[in-house]
Amino acid sequence: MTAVSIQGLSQRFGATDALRDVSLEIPAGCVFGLLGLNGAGKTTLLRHMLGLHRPRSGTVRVLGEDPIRDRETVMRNVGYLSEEDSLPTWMRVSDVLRFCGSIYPSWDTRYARELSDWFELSIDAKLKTLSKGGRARVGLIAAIAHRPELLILDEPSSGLDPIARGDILEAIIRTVSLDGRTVVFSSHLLEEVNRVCDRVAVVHEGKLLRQIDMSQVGSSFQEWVLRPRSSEVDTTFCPLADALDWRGIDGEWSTVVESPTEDDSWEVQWEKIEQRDITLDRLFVALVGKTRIESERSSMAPTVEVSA
Amino acid sequence: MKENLLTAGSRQRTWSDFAGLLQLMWGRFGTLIVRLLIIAVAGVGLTWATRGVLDEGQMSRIATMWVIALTQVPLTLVCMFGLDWSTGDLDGRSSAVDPFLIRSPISSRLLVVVPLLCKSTSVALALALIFCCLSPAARSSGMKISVVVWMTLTSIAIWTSAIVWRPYRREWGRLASVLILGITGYGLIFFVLTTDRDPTWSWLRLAGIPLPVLAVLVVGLWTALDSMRLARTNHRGREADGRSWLTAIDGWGVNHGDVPRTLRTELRWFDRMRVGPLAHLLLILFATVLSIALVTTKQVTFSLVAYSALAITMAHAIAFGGWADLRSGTMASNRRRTPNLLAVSPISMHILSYEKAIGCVIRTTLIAIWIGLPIMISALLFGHQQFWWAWASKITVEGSDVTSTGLRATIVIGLLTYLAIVGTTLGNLWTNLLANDRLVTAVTIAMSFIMGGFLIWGLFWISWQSEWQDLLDMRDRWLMRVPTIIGVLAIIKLACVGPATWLAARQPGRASDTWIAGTFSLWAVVVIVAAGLAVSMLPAMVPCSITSASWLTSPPQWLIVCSIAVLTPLSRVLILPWAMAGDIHR
Repeated sequence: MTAVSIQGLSQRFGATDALRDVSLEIPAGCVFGLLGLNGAGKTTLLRHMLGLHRPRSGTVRVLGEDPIRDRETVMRNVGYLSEEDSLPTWMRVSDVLRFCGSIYPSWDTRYARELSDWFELSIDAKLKTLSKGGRARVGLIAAIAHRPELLILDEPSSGLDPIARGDILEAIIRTVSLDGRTVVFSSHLLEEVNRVCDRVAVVHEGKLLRQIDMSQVGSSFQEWVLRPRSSEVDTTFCPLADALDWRGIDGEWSTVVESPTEDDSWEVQWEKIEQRDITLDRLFVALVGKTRIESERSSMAPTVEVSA
Repeated sequence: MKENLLTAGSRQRTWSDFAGLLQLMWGRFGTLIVRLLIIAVAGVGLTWATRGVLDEGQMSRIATMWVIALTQVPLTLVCMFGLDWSTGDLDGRSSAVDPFLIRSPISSRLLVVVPLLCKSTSVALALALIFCCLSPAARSSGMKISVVVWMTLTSIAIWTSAIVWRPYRREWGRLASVLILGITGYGLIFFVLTTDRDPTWSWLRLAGIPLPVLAVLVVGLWTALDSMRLARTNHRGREADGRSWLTAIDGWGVNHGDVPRTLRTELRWFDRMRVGPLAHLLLILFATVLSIALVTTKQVTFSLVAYSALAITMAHAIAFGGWADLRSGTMASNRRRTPNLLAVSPISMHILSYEKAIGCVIRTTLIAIWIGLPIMISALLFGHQQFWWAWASKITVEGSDVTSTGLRATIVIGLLTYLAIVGTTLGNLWTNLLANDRLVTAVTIAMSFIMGGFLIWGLFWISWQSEWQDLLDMRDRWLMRVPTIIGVLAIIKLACVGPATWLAARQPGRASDTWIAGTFSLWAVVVIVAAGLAVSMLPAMVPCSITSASWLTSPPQWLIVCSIAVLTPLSRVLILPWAMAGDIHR
């Protein structure tokens, strides 16, 4: 079963293409991560899932329904926590819990109280008196205490201390493991994504670059470290045709390859000195870096991003 | 030698900072000021071009006033309130000064001097242009643009900056200050316009400057500097000093425990609490003080000034009706006005918008009653009885009871005024809900120019007529046409209902036939009840010396029903869910 299905989604704000022909399937019951640089289009994509934007073209289906046409049905089963302090700060914790209890038919008051006890929140405290981490915890209760089928988190741990981040990750894990729900979240913290995600999608300049199954990252991608056999070798471009990127440090050159090529003609000039296990950080940099190099190549004279 | 060099260096830096700040100000507002200046100069050109054609009559003067209102006032308002370092975020306790400037190494004094200098010089320029619009006769007959007027407007502009820049201890601090400035500002303008300026000190006498205006200006300057200094170290607001009775009022009604209540109860509570009880209380106090001041001052009660002030107060009341939408505790991102908590909730658009409309009607009703009741009571007290009695006698047929007729007519006028106020507020709610700044600006400008243009054309046309009798004939002809005009308006209203219903039914989300049918029924009930009340209350015959138009002396029932139907919004209520969806699904 599919929790989120997006087909050919495009969005434009003024002269900027926020999303370009994005197609995405998120299976139910998985933890799905969205990765991308600032302004890549992650938040816009998540807002489309929430029906907060009308697609310029394409379709969005959440839990099988259109989040704009069938807003009430979809929103009853969706929880949302954003990176901003989106809860009104004049409210007390108890007000938020009561208000959400009135909004969501499936609100679990006992679970909400249990969570607020777990987070050590004072029920009478006004949100403006809480720390950013405290407000994020209240936002998390508001997002999960109605036990949504789909939990959408937009950079939930941005700017939070490690304990608050841990609470949020714990809640994600509990949501998935205990209730078997789906979680979609965007984050800059790759370590966190690595820890909890089953699948990730990399978004760059409004385009969906790649969807990756986290269990297969190690077997699908490799980082190779190469060294030129002589000083006359041209190091401008990677000798491997399908390399995702190419960067040089201290006379050694690193590249990420997806499916190692069978053509070994490059070995005449280059020596493979190491093959490393790929990290999500390295893979992300390679995927985004490759796109940047391609766009630079197509728009101007051939150049390459080299950090030597 | 070293000290001299340091002083010279610091002087040079001050000048370069000064020039930089001027450049920044020009970069922020230059284009706007130039555009408004072009409109203002066009206004001057219009009055000069028609000066040879028009007589120096009352109508000509009114026409000139309208030209000034449309072409000069925007420039004056922007000069007074616009030229500033504020970022436009006036919510909460924070200072509105651009944080970038707060963190810059530019001295506070310079940060204060530059905008205030820009404000004062541009206000002088705007006043000079208004002066150019006035005819020589108007200038000599008391409509003077003097140094005092400039000082008064500059004082208000400076105080506005001081209030906007200041960080506050509590969320409502800025609102309270604005209300106090509003009352003081009105008072100061009335003082300047109505007193014969007799300064006590001889050196002030030469310039004709009254001492209170000078005092307000100087204290304003000092406060502005103090606000800027406070903003530098307390940009996000000053610390509140514990719990006080004011804090207790502000927190009143917030805490109801965590046991869920009905959805509609919660939504009304949320809408009410977003504004806060203290803000409501302050606005009611403002309206009360102004109403009482107006109705108890015998000299101004029935003057143009009193009516203008009442109109301003009423405008405040109308604006306040949709205020809760303008002031949100936490503004959602992407310029969405609906808070995220509601935007991602499973509440239908029609429930969200219906609750907004209910809140809007309740707020406007409360404020209208609060302002209207003292005025109505004062009409019968404080020595004003004879004015009301004279009016009541004029509209009573011989042999009928004057008191009864007067009271019935007063109630009908009150009812129609109330319907007009609530209708306007409710009718404009869709623009608030849609939260499309461009649309709101376009609608406001278009309406101002259409109405203003029509009015100016009418007044100029009247000024061109040489025979008084022609004017009276024309007036009678238009008065005879009033029933036709109301009939046409009713037909236009009917024509708008179709597209509005289509929009309501097509709005994103499940189309609610029940809601649409309910809205139609509610509208019909309001119109029938109000029309029934008006028909039963209105005297059958009203003697009228102005015209022989039968509809005025003996208003037909269909006309009353049509007038009430035109005043009560329907199409604009039907599109509220669509407007709400427009804000949420951007």
